Order: sequence, then structure tokens, then C-alpha cells
Amino acid sequence: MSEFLLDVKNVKTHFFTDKGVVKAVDGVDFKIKKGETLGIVGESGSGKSVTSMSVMQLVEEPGKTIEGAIKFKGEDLLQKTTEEMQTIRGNEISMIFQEPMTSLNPVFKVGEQIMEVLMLHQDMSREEAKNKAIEMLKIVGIPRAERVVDDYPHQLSGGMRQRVMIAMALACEPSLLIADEPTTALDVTIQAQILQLMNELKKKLGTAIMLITHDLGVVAQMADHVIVMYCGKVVEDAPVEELFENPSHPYTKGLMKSIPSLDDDKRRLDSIEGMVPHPLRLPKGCYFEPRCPYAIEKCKTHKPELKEIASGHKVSCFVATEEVR
Amino acid sequence: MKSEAIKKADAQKKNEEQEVVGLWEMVWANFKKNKLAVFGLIAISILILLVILAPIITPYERDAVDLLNAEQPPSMSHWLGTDELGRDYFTRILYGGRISLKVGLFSVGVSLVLGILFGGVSGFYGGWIDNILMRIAEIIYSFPFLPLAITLSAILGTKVSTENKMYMVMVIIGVLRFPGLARMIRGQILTLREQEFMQAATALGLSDSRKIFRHLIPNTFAYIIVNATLGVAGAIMSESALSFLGLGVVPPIPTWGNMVTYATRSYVLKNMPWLWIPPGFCIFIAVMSINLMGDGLRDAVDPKSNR
Repeated sequence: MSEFLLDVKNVKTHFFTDKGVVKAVDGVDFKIKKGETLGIVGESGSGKSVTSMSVMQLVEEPGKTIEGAIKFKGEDLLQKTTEEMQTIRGNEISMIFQEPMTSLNPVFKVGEQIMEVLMLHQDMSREEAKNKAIEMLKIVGIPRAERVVDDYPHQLSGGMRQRVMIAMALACEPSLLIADEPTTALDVTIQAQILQLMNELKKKLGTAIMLITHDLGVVAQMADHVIVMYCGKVVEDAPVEELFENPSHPYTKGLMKSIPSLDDDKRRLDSIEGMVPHPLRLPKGCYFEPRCPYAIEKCKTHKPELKEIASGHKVSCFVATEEVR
Repeated sequence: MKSEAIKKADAQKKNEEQEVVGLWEMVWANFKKNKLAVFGLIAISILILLVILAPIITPYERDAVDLLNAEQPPSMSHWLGTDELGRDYFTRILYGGRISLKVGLFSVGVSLVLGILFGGVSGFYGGWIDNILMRIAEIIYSFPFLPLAITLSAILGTKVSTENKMYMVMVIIGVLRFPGLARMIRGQILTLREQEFMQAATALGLSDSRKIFRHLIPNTFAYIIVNATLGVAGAIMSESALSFLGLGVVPPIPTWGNMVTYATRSYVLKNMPWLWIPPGFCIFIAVMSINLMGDGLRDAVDPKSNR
């Protein structure tokens, strides 16, 4: 078994629509070590959610993962049958979603929903499962957990529901937690609490986290390692300090610049010019070239590859890797 | 004026408190506001109680023949008189009610099972599975109910005993009524399956059948209960119609339906009204009260009708 918990190699998930093939994820590589947090950053439509769905094998028609390997604990998830995946989902890999308001079944008590996972994957009796559910609710910091197990989702606030979702996801003590924009729908104070909670739980339970977000602030707070995605490809891959100190891809630089700062008195926020290209009309060369302020002739015709520029820091850009000079 | 405003505010407050308690409490609170529906609930409850307690209420046997006392008008010893074989009519009304209500409940049970199965599976999977299942349901749906029921019970009815014929009628009514329920459930599932909590359920590693029957169907219970309640009334009517035509449950097993048959004899119709008014009245009360209750339930369940 390799030292990596999750080893994603050259994964391609394409959507075969009537109008053409949308390459939502187009050859993505990344690795997550045990207990590590990987941040996946990118704009809407950059393929970060589809990447997480591919790992969970939740991509729905007309989408399909057509190439690559997703090695989890040394076994390729792409080779697993539906039944085998069902024993992994929620048990060894679990997921929390963006919308805590609608991610819980409205007609069941929250306790029941946590218990269901435990009884399904861990063969617990109702009694044991209930005790474990209460314990999990306490772990995620819900006061009066004994009462809340018997509450229905609509009786809880958004932050509470996201805590319940986390409790449910972590109930079986998975080795990997996929968090798809877990705090986007929550207000800022709750957001901070939830992130702190996830960090604490990561330390306590040793769970690796794959954190999908468009918020660089969240990444800075949570991640050990970051990949930046653009149009279904990884454009930069670096440890978090390295990425913030030395962002190399023009897209990453643009993202950094567009974070509002308290120090300067600019009236307008910096933004990256232009739009994400249409997925069916991608540029011939580097996908970022039309929006890139540093673009050179070669960028229009050739696609850059991920190249290591410092230890553990990879970037796919001709300019940054100085190939042209 | 003022006191009314306060009352209103109180009622609202109460309502809000109850809303925190849960769906069913809210439904009950709304249901209570509808006087007719509560009347229906009380009426049907009394009827059910009478029917269940039949052996305690009346001293007579259901089929005890007493030819010396045949065709007696209502009296102190025979509250609703006797029929042509001298059987106590009140006793037969009570026991007949047992059968009628049983047929209503059982056939709704049959359509519930079929409806949930068909509706749940075709709504969840969609595509060709949905197409096949719904076309089957629609074929059954498109037959006119009564002629088909008559034909079926005429063909199948000759081969079975009286007792079994009762169950056969239940199944026929149930099967013929399920498509409506199946379509309703399918429609609900179609919208529910796209909800985020279903994606979450998949991510938790739940199997398809668990997702359909443990997570989706319970979300449609409110609608199912309304449909089933109204269905019981419909099934009682159908049973009465079939039995009236002699194709449903046959004597000596009494049902309200086959007891009304006395009205077809002109002599009885003219001279012995105690033989056909009471069963007709019972059908009327049962069906009306169940329908009132069902309507009330529907309004209580529908969030848009919340005033």
C-alpha cells in the first residue's frame, strides 16, 4: 500500500450531451495523505465538484468517468461494483454538501438519520446506534444532544443542520471526508465555527479532508496542500504556504489579487478580466490564455503541462516555468 | 371585536407552537379547525365502534333463522324488524357493516401496496421502467370500472366459495383502483428524487430500495393517507354496487350492498321499508363521513391551504 490514502491519476470525467462532449474533468491528478487536508480551488464550472463526484462515483448520466484511476487505500474505485461502492460510501469515504437546509430528509428525526448510517455500515443495534448518534452530536458541538436527536430538521438552524450533516458523515469514522463547499450557505460567524470544528475533528479522528471551495480564505485556514483548477484541469499544485507566498500561475495570481485587503484603499476590487470559456468552445492552446495578462504567442497554440518549479510545487504555464526564455 | 382579535392571536400563537412540534401535529391542528371533517371523524368512529362491538350490542346470531318471526316490522325485540327468514335485521346490519368496512379497508390496502410499488419504482428510476409500469397502470386505468369489475367477478366468481368470493371482490376492487394512487405517488417521487437529501442519501451508501421505500415514500405519506381515506369510501361504494348486482359478496354473508338489494322487489320496496332504508342509510353515512374526513385531511395536509 502506498503512503497515500487517495491517489487520483489522470481522471477524465466527460459529459456526453446532445450538443457535444463537455470535458468537466480532463486529466486531473492529485494525492491525499492520511490525515491531510487538500483544498481544491476554482471558479464555478472549473470542475471541482465533478472531481469530488467522480471520487464518490456519483456522476450521473450523461456524465461518465472514462479514463484514469482513483486509488483509495490502494484499490481502484473505478473498478468497484455499485454494491461495493455502497459499502464504501458513508463508511470509508463520506461527503458533506453545500446546502445544509435541504440535505436532510425532512420527515425523519435527525437522530434516525445518523442511526441509519450506523446500523447499515457498522451493524449496530438501534440502542447502540442511538447512543453513538448522541455522542456524535456532542462531538460536533450540539448542545442538549439528547433532545436534538429527536428533533426534525426543520426545527434546527442552518449551522445546526450542517453540524448534523458532519456528525452523520463522520459517524462511521471514515478515513476521507469530502466537503463540497461546506460553508458557502452559512453566514460568516457560523462558517468560522464549522471550519474550526472540522479542523478539530480532523485532528481527533485522523480523517483526511478533501475540501472544495472557491474561497481562498477558507483554504488558507484549512488546507495543507492546494490544487487550483481551471476548466477541468489542474493549473497549479502546491503546499498551502508555498501557494500563498509564491503563486505562480497567472490564474492563481488573479485569484489572490481579487481577495479584498484591509490595508489598501482601493475603491474597486481587482478581478480577473473576461469569463470562463464555454465548455464546448475551449481555446486551442492554454485554456486561460484569453484572460491571461502574461500570455505570449506560444500560449495560443500549445497546451502547457504541469511542471515542478519548486519542491512539491507544480504549475502548468509556459511563462511561469520559463520554458520560452 | 377586541376579544375576537385576541382569540385570533391566541390561535395563531398556538398554531405556531404546534408548528415546531412536527408535521402531524400541524395536520391535526388544521384538521380540528374543520368542523365538518371532525363530524365525519366522529360519525365514522361511532359506526366502526358499533360494528366491532356487534356481538355485545345484539343478542342474536348473524344467520339465526326464525321462520315464525319472519318479515316482522321493527319492534322492541327486533329494533329493525326481521327479514324473510326471520333473521334479526339490526344484527345483520351490524355484521354487514363489518364486511363492507373490511372490504373498503382491505381493497385500499391492496391498491396501496400496488400503488406504492408501481409509483415508487417508476418515479425513482424513470426511463423505460417508468414507461412500462405506467403504461400497465394506464391500461387498467382506462377500463371503465364497473363493466370490468362485473366481468371479472362473473368469470372468477363461479369457481370460488362464498367466503372466498368476498376476498376476491376485495382484490378486484383494489387492483382496479391502484393506478390513480400509483400516478400520484410517481408524481411526488419525481420531484422529491431531485432534492439534495437524496444525493446525500446516495453519498451515505444507501441502496436503491432503501432510498425509495425508506426515504422517498415516507415523504409522500401525507398524500397517501388522504388518497387512501377517500379510497375507502370509494371502495365501499364499489362493493355495494357489485353486491347489489349480485356479483359481489353474496348471501348468507350480509353486506350493506347486498342488503339494499331488497329494494329491487316491488313488494318489499312498498311494504317493508325497514329492509332497505337502514342499509342504504348506513352506506350513505359511512361514505359521507369518510369523504368529509378525507376532504378535511386534504386541506390540513396541503400547506397552501393554510390560512
